[in-house]
Amino acid sequence: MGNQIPLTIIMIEDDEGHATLIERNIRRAGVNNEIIRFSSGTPALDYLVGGGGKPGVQNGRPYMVLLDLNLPDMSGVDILRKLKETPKTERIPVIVLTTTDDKNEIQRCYDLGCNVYVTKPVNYENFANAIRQLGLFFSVVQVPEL
Amino acid sequence: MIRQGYRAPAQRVLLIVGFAVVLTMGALSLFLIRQSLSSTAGVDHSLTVLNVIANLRADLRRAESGQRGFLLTGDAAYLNDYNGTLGRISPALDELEKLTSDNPTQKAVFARLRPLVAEKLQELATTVALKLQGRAADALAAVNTDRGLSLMQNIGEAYRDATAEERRRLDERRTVSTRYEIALIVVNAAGVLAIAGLAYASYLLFRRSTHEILTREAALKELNESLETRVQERTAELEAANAEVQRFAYVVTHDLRSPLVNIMGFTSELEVLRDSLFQRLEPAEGPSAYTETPEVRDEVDIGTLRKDFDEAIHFIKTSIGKMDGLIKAILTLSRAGRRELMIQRVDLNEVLEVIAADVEHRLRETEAELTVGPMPVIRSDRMAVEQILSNLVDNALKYLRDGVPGRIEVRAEQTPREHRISVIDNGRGIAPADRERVFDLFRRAGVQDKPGEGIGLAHSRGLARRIGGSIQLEEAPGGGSIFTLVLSKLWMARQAAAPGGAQNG
Repeated sequence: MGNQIPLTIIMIEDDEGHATLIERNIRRAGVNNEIIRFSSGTPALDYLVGGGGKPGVQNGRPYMVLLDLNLPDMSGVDILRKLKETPKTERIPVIVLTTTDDKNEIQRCYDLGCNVYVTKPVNYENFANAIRQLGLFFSVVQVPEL
Repeated sequence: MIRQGYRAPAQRVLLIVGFAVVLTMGALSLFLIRQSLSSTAGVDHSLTVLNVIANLRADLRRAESGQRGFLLTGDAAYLNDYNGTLGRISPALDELEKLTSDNPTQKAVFARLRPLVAEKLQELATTVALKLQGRAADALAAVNTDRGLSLMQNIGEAYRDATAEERRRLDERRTVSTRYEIALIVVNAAGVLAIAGLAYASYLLFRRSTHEILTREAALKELNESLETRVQERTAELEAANAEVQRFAYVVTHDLRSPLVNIMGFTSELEVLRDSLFQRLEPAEGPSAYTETPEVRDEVDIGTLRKDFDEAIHFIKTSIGKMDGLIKAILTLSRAGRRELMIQRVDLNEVLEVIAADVEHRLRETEAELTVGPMPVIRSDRMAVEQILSNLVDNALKYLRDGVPGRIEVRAEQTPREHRISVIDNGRGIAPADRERVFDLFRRAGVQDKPGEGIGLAHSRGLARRIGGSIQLEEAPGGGSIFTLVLSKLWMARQAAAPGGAQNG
């Protein structure tokens, strides 16, 4: 990473199994950054944007968000929208990772400002590959500071 | 009720009658005019005859005075006069004969007259001739005989008869002529009146048919509007149902795919682990599906391997369990959707007593209060209503607000068209954005700190629809939620009309 301060990856994924698989493959790609997991939308937003007693993210630290759309308590699209609407968090790159490959959904996410949309395939080979590419992506990308 | 075909024959009849009147009028008028003309001609004729008779009379007198004059004075002037007059008499007689040829009475008179006139002329001629011969005394003697006088008297009688007859004829003809004229006027006036009457009748019919048309148009328009309203309602219902089905399909494919990703993933992880394990057991084995790089191998120790192994198996199992749970829930919902409804008299007071008894211990545990107002008696499927209300009360009890003891009220209202049973709570409430979401299958909203699979409300909504109702959600003043079960009275009435209960909602 080109940054001084290490990138923190925020993973918003409700399924523990998926979260584990994703994390494992990211690690396999050689990415050692901190991964903070959230299993539902509300605490994730509290952490990022602020609310529920939390102040939200601090300036000066780079983040990247891995977002699953199919969360139990709210729609991932709403989280995406909230992130992009809040000045504090709008620059954070969001990678949508989800089981849907519905064209409309993809379009909507891009319209709302997601940076990358990746479908979680059932085929594990592809899945693992995608995650590892993501890891490589992490290693080469320049992420803005907040 | 106006008969369908009433208009057409009436107007046709009117038209026919109208034509008939006009034709009749025309024919009668023509006829009367012709008669009138001929009787005028007759009048004319009579006047001519009278005229000729009068002239004849005058001429005969004149001839006589000529003769007399000549006899008295011997003046040639009188003789000339006499001769001249003679010349007119004969043609006049001829003409008279012609003119009276059609009238037998006149003919008879004329038959009398002609010989008399001829004799008179003869007498005149004789006396004149005598005078010319110089036998004046003989001429006077001839005159002195009363012959000439009696002739003139006879002639005078004949004249009078002829004149009288002709006058009579004239009057007759005049009367007839007048009658025809009057008839003509009457016929035309009657015709005009008839046509005016027909025109008025036609106008009345026209007005009535216009009124009919307008009434029908209004009725049609009303029908159209009510039809359109019904169509709109149905379309909205269908659209809502369709949207729900779409959401359902989306949720189901997601929620079933998710565990599959896990199963596939961790199965592959197991494969990786298998290679690691067997390589450790038999390092001399040939090429394997996955070759650990030396770096990785050194790092990963047995403990980690075991942990990973257990983790993989755990996730596989839970995923399978999850899928099974999902499929079961879907089947339950589907079964509930297929269950036959039993429509009966349901006293909601009883139903809520049962529910209240069920939750009593939870109420005590959470120091919550449940108030139930007076409830109506309705016609519906008892089980469905109980399940829905139970679910709503459960939710109210589950999603309390931290630190605030739960106050739950169940209240019933009625409008002419529906029953409304509301469950009002003072809990944590539901954000406006989530108001549809909470009814989706396997979906929930808000902070996830309570157990549940997100099935209850989806189930309740489906049930509500089956019993001719719906569930509405709004915010309670103070932040909680109001869930209202709305039941259509019309639906209930229709069930009563079809005994044995309904099959589908």
